[in-house]
Amino acid sequence: MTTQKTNRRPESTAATARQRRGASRRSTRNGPRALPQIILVGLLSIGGLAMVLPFVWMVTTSLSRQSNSAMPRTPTFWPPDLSLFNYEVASSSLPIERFYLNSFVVVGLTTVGYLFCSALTGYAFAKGRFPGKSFFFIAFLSTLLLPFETRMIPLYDLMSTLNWNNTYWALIMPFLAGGFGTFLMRQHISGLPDELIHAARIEGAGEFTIFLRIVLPLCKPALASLAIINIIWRWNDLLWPLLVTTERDMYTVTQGLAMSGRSSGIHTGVALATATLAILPVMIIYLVLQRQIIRGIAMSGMKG
Amino acid sequence: MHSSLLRTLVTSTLMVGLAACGGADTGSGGSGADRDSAPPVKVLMIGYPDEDGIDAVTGAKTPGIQQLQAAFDKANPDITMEIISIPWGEGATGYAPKTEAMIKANEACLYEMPAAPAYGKRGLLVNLDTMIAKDPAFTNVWGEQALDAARSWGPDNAKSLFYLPNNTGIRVINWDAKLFKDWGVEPLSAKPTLQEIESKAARMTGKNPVTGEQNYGYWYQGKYAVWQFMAIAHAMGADWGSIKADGKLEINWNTPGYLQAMEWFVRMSTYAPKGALATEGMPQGFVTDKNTVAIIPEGEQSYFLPQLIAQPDLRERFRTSYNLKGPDGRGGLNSASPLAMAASCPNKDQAWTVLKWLAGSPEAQAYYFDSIGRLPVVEGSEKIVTPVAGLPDGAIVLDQARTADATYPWAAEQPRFALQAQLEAAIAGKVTPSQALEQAQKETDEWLARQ
Amino acid sequence: MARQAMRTRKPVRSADTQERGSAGHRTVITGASGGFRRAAVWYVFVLPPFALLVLFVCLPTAQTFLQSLYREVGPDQQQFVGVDQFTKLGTTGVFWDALINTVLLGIAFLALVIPLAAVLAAMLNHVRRGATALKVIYFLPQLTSSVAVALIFLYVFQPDWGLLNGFLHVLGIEDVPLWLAEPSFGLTGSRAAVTILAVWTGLGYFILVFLAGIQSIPVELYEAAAVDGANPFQLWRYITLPGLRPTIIFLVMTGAFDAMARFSDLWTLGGPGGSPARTLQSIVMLMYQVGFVSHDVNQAAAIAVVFFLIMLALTVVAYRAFLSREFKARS
Repeated sequence: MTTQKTNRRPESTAATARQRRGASRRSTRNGPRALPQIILVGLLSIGGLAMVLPFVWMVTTSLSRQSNSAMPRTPTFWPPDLSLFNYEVASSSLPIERFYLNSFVVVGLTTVGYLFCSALTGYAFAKGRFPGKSFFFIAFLSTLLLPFETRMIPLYDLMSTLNWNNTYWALIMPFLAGGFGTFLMRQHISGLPDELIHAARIEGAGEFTIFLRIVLPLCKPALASLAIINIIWRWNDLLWPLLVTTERDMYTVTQGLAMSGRSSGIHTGVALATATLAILPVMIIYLVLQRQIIRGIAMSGMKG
Repeated sequence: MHSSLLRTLVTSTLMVGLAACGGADTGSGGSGADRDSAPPVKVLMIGYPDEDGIDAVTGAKTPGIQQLQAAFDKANPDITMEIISIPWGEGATGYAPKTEAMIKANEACLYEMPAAPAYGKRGLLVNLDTMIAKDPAFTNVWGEQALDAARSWGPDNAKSLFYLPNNTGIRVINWDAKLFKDWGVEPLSAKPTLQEIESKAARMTGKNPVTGEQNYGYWYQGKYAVWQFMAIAHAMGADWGSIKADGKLEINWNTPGYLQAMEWFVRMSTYAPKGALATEGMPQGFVTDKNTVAIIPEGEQSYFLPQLIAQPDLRERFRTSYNLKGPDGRGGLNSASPLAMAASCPNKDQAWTVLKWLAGSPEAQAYYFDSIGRLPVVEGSEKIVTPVAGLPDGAIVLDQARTADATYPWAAEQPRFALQAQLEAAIAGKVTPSQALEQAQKETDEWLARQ
Repeated sequence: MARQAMRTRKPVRSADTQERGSAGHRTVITGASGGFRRAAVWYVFVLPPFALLVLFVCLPTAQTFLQSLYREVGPDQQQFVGVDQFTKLGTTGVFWDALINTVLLGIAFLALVIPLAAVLAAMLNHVRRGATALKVIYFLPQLTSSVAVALIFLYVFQPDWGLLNGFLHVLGIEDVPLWLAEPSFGLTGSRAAVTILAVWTGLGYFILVFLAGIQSIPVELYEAAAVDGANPFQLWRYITLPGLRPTIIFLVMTGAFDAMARFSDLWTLGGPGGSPARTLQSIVMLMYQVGFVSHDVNQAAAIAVVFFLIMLALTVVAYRAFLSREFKARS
């Protein structure tokens, strides 16, 4: 819904946003008693603190060796015995860099494939006219309704049949096409003016050329948000990697975290050190790309 | 335009064709090809460290699973074994879905399999008695009693041996001698009765007369409380039921014996920290000088062995008694880890050699202890794990493995979860013990009816 | 006055729809003149991804549907039993418990997170400096995997030494909640704990969507109302809130889907049985437990089918409430 609104006038979004910001400022000023900024920011910061504190506590606890056998009764944000021991334990038992490599390969290839398939079908459903179009579109949409758990065992059997277990194939192939991406791209491409495509057709361009040269470049914002969503989905997926990869060298980061986090559950410090190792790089990427990520989420109205 | 159309068509046809061919493949000639080329014997093992690591408390080195592989290769140069190592995990991360999926896909030959009796019942495992019968070189290092305890109902034989015990966790009663001394309470006896535990736990709950800290007389592992409950009930002489001749289970929770046991448990839970219900392990600070819990029935000794071995000064403080024993002299969860062979295994003879080595050889037994503190189930184990034998209560620890309760065939099934859920509700005071047992029985009956 | 402003909005929207409709009409003409080859091209675009969906989504799911009509009677032996698995399900108390639980947890989550996020988003909309930083911070938990978050909260909720109760101690509260150690519907029990976890995790996302909703309300409406002397509360009540209606419907619907499929965080905290006392067992968890722990694949398939039907019903509701208008405008 939000997508549609933004896309109707893509060229004027920035201008409108600026206008709006000005307007909201004006309206607060014109109101009888505008809420003072300091109270607003203060209240919101208290909430923000609640968001951040568990993470801070995770990091500080992970720096205490004592927390493996005896957690302090009163939570502390400064470990009494600051050391990297828990990280030594965590990294000695897990090839965490290998997990990262696997996650990057799997998430990267899945995302590229997923974007391509989604844009291709999205274009067909938005601008194409062919018999059975609604059937195919409904078919794509209905797959949104089929929860992963429902098909897990038959799908695992299929992977074994194809001999894909413990390969990247099993982690990538089932996730290349999906109803959600198709739907999102269709919504976006529908918003593109028909005149552009029409003009290209008159000039004799084939549909695939139009797709590559005209549609794809205009889809950048939608593709970016779809990419973000897909990256979050795939990065956090756990169930499937655990089923199809039995070899440690094929584990993803999330899988590695789950594996060690639970097995070292009684050792709070090590468990939280492992969690930190799995979360921290993602957080750094998030902080670097925060603007794009947040815009992407707000645009598509979808989270991971 | 045309070429890309063609390419896409070809690709998609290939995709579908590939799947269809793959499907036909395993249907017909899969096993025939396997026999010719003698594939590696694949073994699913659960919960061993993947790499050499460091113990999180003591800092001691722990050997990774590849050391077990290396030891095997050295002892059996003619056989290729391949270990698939997965963590216990839980739920999505758990071994159970993995095992189910793997056995359906004929992924491995040997399985470390907590639910072996259930898989055996479904006809998916080899009755190892048939392997023993064919094997003149077989020596029973586990003891006839242990193998007999392992036998369960199978479609071909009502007393089938579906696994060999691989290694075992030890469920004992852990207690803190210092707290006993602070409170002026007589130390716990080696084979304590329920009455002794109740009166001593009650006396040690409150402000410690020496340190002034809040002490708790009792502890239970919230999410695994069902095992402590079973130990208590067994000690009271209660009996869960039996396997009938046709392999069907008969389970009775709703009996006076279990009611008495649950009432006792609920009473004792008031001497434990309130948060115990949410925990899945031992109390924070046990085997450190910050401990505040006096008695842990059904305690998991494996957690503490590395610390007790590494820190001799703690050995006199943190002591071990036998788990609760019933009239038959047995008691405490049998946490032997079953190693089973899939009926679909193409090279059973080689797999049998691997199975015997993993479950019975001193090298393998030593590895299990060094890596995760699990103990041998073979006779003469004190010679394999000498550091344990050297502890003040080492003899009790090793002997507990041989006197645990018989395994529960429903241990990984609905009856356990029904009972656990109701036990939690009873401890939390949401239902009375009799309501809890009634409901657990109802859910168990529903499950039994589906068998 | 503000109501009048609302009314002026409608004609704008329908004019918009008309414009789009006529654009679509033009395509029809062009497409028809392109002939059959033009239509064939679209199949090339659609069929390969469609084949992937059939292979990896539809067929395995269909297999599950089939399994729900059978019963395992022996190794690799299945017996057709019709709807037996479903009638058995209907009489299983555990199934109803899990279903009710899932729905209750979903309602509690949405009832908390939507007003909270709406208010926070409205506040955030007025922040002149630091709004981006606040957005980033509120969205942080959503970006962390649910495995990691649940792992952290396992310790945050520890009654004896966890972060949350430690904080309550500092505030002077002596009788601290037991959270995951108390199976209850109360405000201090296990269900409350996982609801707090869900709100903590999801809040940032809900705020972002609300912000986008607030910012898509035409500025002119506020200007007109402000000229007429509406106060901020009236602006919120008569312009912002009605303007957010589609946003709220969207969030309730997507939130309902997520809530029905809730799984990994509850499982990480509650174990296979959704402990304590099965208070955290969701329908997907039960499906999982029956299929993989109790090894009754056919019964699990039946649960999967019921689950599918519930999701289908939700979609129909969502379609009626929200999507139908959009589809009509587009096709």
